[in-house]
Amino acid sequence: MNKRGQIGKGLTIFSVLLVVFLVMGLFNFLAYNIGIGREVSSYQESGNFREDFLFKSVGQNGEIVLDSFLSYAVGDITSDNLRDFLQKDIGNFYNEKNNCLFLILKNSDSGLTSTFESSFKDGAVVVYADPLGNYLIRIDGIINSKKNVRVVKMDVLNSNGEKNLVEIKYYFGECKK
Amino acid sequence: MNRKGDVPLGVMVIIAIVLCGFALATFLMFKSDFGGIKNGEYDVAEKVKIAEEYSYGKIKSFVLNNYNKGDIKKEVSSFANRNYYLAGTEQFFAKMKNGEFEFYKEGENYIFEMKNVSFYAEIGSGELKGTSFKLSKDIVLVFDGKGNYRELR
Repeated sequence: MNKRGQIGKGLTIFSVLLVVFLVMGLFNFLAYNIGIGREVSSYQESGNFREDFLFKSVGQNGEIVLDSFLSYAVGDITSDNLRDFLQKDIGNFYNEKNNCLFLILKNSDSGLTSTFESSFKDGAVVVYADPLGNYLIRIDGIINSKKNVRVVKMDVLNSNGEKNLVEIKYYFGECKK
Repeated sequence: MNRKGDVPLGVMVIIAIVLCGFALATFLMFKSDFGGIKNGEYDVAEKVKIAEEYSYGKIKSFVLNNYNKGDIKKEVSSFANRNYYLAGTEQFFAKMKNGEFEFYKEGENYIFEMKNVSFYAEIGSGELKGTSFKLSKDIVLVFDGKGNYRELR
């Protein structure tokens, strides 16, 4: 093969490699921007729940944060009760001013979908409650990364022994100012 | 320049682009289904894990607030009487209610011990619907002298 042919061959191989690298870059970009919308298992996120916000102690009788969320999801307490809980009990966990909590509670069997937002503003904990769940869009604008939004699904037996599939989607951590 | 020799290389570029497009499409259409095993069937292991972790969380909170009250078993009635249960934790709560656990001091630490407790979950959908998954184990949690959780033994 003559010299010009070899140069042409080299240029073609280079362009193929360039295309492959560009597409790999595109994959990475999509993995970051599309993957975050997926509801990833909590275990895939952190490995275990042992130090998770949901399991923090909030009561004398062994109550933990998750208990209040489940109580609301199965209809044991009202949204006002949960709002008070977020204001007083969860408020104690704020140690940084930029912290906030987003919470979406769903009960597939009762049709419940409610959203709550709690944040530390001007020296106090502010809570927004939307029992009808029209709040989803705000999450995108305020938290730093949707990758840290966790989703937990569990079956909860209510006082009648009926099984309710409860889904808790939440973010607790630093938020944009 | 030998133009005929460049044709296969030109084709390579096109094939590379097509393969990349195909891989990209596969990547975007991936829905975590593995050979007929659907998400609902995978959830079962996670539900068991959550039931287990939930129980640990309850014990940790209970010990933190009651470790210094003498006989801790006298404090379990309000802990175990509940309006709802996380499915799969019934046996754990029954054992708590019946005082089927040990809580004792070992040096500077407190030890919570519950033998042979089971957590379970049922597959809610797919071909294996109704199949249950059970995890049986001994729970041994170590707390410091102030009731703070230290480690799982």
